[in-house]
Amino acid sequence: MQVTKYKYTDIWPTNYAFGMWVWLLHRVTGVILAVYGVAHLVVISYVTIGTGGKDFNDIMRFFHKPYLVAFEVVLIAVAFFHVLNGFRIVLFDLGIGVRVQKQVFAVLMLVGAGLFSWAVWALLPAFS
Amino acid sequence: MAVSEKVPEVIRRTRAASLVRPATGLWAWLLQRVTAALIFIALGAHIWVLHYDKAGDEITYQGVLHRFGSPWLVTMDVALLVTGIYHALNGLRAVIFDFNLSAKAQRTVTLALTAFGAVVLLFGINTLMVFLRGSPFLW
Repeated sequence: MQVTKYKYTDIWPTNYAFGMWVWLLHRVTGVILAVYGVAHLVVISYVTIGTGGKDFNDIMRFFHKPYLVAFEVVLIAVAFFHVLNGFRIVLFDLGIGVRVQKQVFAVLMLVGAGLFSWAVWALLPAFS
Repeated sequence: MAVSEKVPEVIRRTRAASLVRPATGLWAWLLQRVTAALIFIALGAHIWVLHYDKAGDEITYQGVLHRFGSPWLVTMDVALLVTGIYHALNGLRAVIFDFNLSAKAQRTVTLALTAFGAVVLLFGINTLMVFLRGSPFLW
């Protein structure tokens, strides 16, 4: 659906081109990873300092639930997308593959799907 | 010779100056790429050693102390901290700047993110010291 009755038609989501969605997803995943990184650091630091490991073991037992490990699987997907799309951005900065950017994206996402499958398979013991 | 004379004086001077003293945004852009490559290596090692090697074993404090026993790993994690904090906060800066901020607001945001980054960096190094010498270095 092409929307033209608004002033800023180029930022109306249905008018986004393919690369615009990828750009937006890169930003969203970037913000998710930044927030997670700080949360990870604060939580691990908080339970590492001071109590000689009791808090650390408690919180690790808390996170060792299947539905919380599932969140980590989502995080792995987010990270792989950000890494591989970042690689694509660097390629474009070097002037490589700009004309075939959709194909480059498809190939990298296939690589990402493979890496993601391996990562989840390797993480399966953590679900038990 | 003939070509260079056709380039307006102001543009010629700007080009010459940008070679001697590139704008900060150019360094930020380049550093974002460099840190991305370093994070790729350091984060890969971090996740492998701390989460994937023997995945499924119960994660305990003693186990992590043992896995994290090498000074090389701690050094690598400090590198991950520095590059990760820069990459994350510079990325956030780019996202925030896309909302058409005034030059003054941009400076404020940059200053605030830099200060936040410095605090997080000290906090992180402080924690990593536990693995290196048994106690944090600040308290």
